[in-house]
Amino acid sequence: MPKHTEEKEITVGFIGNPNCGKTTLFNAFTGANLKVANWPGVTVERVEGSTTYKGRTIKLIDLPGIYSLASYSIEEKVSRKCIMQENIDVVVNVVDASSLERNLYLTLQLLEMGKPVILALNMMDIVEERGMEIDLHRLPEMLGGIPVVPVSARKRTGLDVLLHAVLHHYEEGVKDRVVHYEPELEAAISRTEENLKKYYGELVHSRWYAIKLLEQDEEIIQYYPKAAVAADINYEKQIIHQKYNYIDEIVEDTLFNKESKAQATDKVDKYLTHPVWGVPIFLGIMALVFFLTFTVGDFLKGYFEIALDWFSGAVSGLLIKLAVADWLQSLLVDGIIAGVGGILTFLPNIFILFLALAFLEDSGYMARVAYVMDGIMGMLGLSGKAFLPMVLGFGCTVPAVMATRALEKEKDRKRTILITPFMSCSARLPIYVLFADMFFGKYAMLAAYSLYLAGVLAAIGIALVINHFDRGKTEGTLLIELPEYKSPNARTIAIYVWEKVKDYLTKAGTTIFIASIILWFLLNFNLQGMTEHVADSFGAEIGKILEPVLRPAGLGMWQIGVALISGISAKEVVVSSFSVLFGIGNINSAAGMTELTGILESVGFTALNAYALMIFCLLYTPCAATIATIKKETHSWKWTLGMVLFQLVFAWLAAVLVYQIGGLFL
Amino acid sequence: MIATIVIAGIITVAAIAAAVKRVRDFRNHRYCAGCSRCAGGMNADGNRGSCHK
Repeated sequence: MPKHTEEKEITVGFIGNPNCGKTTLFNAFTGANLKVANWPGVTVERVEGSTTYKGRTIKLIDLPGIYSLASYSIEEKVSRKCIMQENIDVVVNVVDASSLERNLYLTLQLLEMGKPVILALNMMDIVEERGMEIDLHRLPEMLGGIPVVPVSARKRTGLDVLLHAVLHHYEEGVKDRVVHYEPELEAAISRTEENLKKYYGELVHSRWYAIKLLEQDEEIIQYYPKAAVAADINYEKQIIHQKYNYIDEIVEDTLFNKESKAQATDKVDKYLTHPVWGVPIFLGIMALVFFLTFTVGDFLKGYFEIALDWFSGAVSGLLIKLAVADWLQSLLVDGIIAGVGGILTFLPNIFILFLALAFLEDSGYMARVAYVMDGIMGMLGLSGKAFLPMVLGFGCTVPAVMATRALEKEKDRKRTILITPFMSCSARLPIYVLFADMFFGKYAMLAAYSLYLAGVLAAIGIALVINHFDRGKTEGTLLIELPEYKSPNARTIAIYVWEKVKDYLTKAGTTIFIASIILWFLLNFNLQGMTEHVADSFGAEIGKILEPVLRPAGLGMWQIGVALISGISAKEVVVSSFSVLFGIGNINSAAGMTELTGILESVGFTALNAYALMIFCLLYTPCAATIATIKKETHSWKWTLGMVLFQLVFAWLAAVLVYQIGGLFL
Repeated sequence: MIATIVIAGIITVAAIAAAVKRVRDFRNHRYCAGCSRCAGGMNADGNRGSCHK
């Protein structure tokens, strides 16, 4: 490769919103030259590569996908630091042309920084497919005369034109001031610029620094504290608002035939993200999810029950034929098959739950939930962002706790970690399905749904109490992308559901398998060896210690104590414990349920006791995997154990209240 | 007697393998790290975990 030493290497920074096709474009240029490097001191990756055009070497830096140049997230800080301080000659702002409104906010911020910017209008093929048109003469005019180059990273079109623009414009800044704020704001910017000049001399990007100071950007205030004193009012909201007003003007002037799909999204969003109706609609949708989980799931599980009955009978027959020792027959049939098999019969319910959640996510609705909940979360001293981990908690608490990393403030993060386990995860579903079906008959679905609501209310209530005693500044403005609604993609949904089903099967084959063996041992042995009377076993001894503690909650049976302890390994184990404890082969079948209901009713266990039990299971200590994750995320055993203890006490109090108050009416 | 020993052996090995797998899975599994690139695990299409499996 010829090296042109007489001409300086041009460094280009690629920047854009997440998923705007930036990396596809970057890869189209760099191909095999790609290398990955870490920024010093931060974990965010940036990618470097290079290409040549007309004999000039062009170094390309791919920056993290961001929505703005604020300093809320690590990615934002890294990107703007790179643009301001690194030797970047020109910024290529990759924009998803099919979502101009969303992408231009970052563009306007980049233009304010004063560096040469080239707008790469990516996904133009999609714009054309959708029948939209962009006025490519008017758009550059409205963006201060910067080059605007239509490209398609996917089809590799427009790439040479983009490099040509880089070569010709890398030394040109923005010709005109792009955003003209209202006079009051412009006056404040001028005043701050004067202060900057007075205290710090002539700055290259003084207007950008002045705007950041008026937005009370913590990082810039640290650099220029004297100028910040003059900018004592926070103008952030006005600046954002006026920028979006200008974006509306640009879109109005340059985008034609805005497609019907986008218009339909706007129409649907009028209802789904309505300030008043948004929350009731969300609750209605979740009710529909649980209705399907119960009705369709129950229909499918009949086949699993038949298979389990057949399998259990076949294994039993084989073991007798092979003259296997009685204890081993008991371990296999009453312990492992009853425990693991019992859990597998709930697979249809789990399948339907995740199918419905996948449908909601892929259609674009789930992203709106955080937006809808922003107001309520604000009252709790948390941002709508905190609701995202809580939504994930409907699936599994482990990734939900990890997702709290999106919250920048440690205090907000810990509060969210504290309340996330109250969101009813899929592992609790078998408990609800079993006990609601056994004791609530045709109202089973309603009983189970009330538990999901109780979980959300418990989380909100606790956050409210914490906020009452510890008021503090919360996360900043919620910036979240609301994608267009679309027909869910069958492949995406199939992958999502398969991952979840695989997780469930893995859990059944590992955690529940081991828990069933341990439980069988505890229920069949005592200090003298194997016992035929379960009431004399180790398990009974342990359960009896808990019996008086659980009695006020209507759960004063040693078997329940054992099942609840076992449930700490995984919540489904509560159900498999009931199988093993009461020796019921197929607990989820009609016969199994009738048998268990008969046993429980004979000792005075009613629908009220069942509801108290479900409340306790909803709220008590999360599973071992969640506890380990909380420790990993908080780096504190003290905090983790404190949280476990708090949830145990809270669950006990809630169950006692339900049982005692319910007892007054029933 | 032989059948008992063989089956008990299989169960023991399976239990140990299950315990090892559970611990290893937990240590190695890359859940969504909530890096905020996709707003707490959800990308622009409203899917989550597109970058981590």
